[in-house]
Amino acid sequence: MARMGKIIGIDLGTSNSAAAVMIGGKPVVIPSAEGTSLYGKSFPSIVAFTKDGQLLVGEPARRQMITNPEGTIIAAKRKMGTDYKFKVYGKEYTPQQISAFILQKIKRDAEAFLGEKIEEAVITVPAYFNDNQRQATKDAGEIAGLKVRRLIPEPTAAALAYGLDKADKDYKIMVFDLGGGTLDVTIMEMGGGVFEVRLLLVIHS
Amino acid sequence: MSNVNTSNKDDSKIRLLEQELEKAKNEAREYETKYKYLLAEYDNYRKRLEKEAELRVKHGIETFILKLLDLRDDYIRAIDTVKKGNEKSINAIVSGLEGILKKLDNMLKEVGVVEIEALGKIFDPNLHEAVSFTYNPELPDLTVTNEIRKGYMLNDRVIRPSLVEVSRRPMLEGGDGKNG
Repeated sequence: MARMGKIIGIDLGTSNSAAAVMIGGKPVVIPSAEGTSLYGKSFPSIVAFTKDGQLLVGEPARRQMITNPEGTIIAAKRKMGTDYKFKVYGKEYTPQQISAFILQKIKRDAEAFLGEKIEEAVITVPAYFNDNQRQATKDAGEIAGLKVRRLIPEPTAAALAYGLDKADKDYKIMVFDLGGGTLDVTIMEMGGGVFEVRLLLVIHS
Repeated sequence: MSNVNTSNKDDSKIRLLEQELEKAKNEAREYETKYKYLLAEYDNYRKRLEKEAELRVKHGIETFILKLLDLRDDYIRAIDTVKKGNEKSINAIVSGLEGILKKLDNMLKEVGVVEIEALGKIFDPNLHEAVSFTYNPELPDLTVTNEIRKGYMLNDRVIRPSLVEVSRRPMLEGGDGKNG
């Protein structure tokens, strides 16, 4: 029997990102390799290129922002699915490539934490992401060497965490996602394991 | 006659299949029992590990707190001395406070806390966090010129980066790759 590798779940956020893995039936958040960050176990979704050619992702990238604003990229998620190019020190990067740097770091951290190769992931995306934005997120995963098994809308992921897909009755729920970059409020209906978004409110900071 | 033969053959085939089915069922039951047993055992093992980890953390904190209490006693003594003191005792108070600080530093060292060097070093985002910068043509780019808050590492991991001010070399015309 082929051994199944672990699949990690990734919250690729506008301001912060985090990943978790199921261990013994429970989700465990994967700690960031560089140690404690301002935000606990998640880390800032920041990518930086230093003048001497170093690539920094997460906390180290945030710590040097003020000295290197021209080489630091924040909130690449807002540009996902567009033709926008980040121009840094004469090089151009697509939003997918920048997101891939964040996903690569997550992959590395997960492999160090679990002691095994990680090749598959589930990534959450905002419920309002269109096909282009969803495809761009998938592409970012592929660039990072992760096969994206599924993209899950963020409010659906929140509902799943409460086991609402296994409930025996239908629910109408409101999900508040008070993120660093956006506040998303979603009203969803669910029944028989199917989630349907009824109303969506997005406020960008 | 041939009909009887065929029917006998079928019967024995059915018996054989029934036996095989029974054997397979028994095996499946056996595996199921083993699987359930292992699952329960694994769950217990996981719970035990969690409990042990929790205990380890609790005991670790206990040892650390005992050392902190010792330090607290010294601190109270220092305050009493200040209250009772006169101008002449200032030196004694200062040396007492320095003693407490030394004790605290030793205690941190014992548990693996190491101070991060910053002042005069080249800024390293893995260890330092820049909060501001000043232009200075005489220093190498990104030299730490001021340490606002000390940073610390615990067993090779940064638990708090140093908050620093750094120098930047003024940009020369047509120089430094500013981008669009």
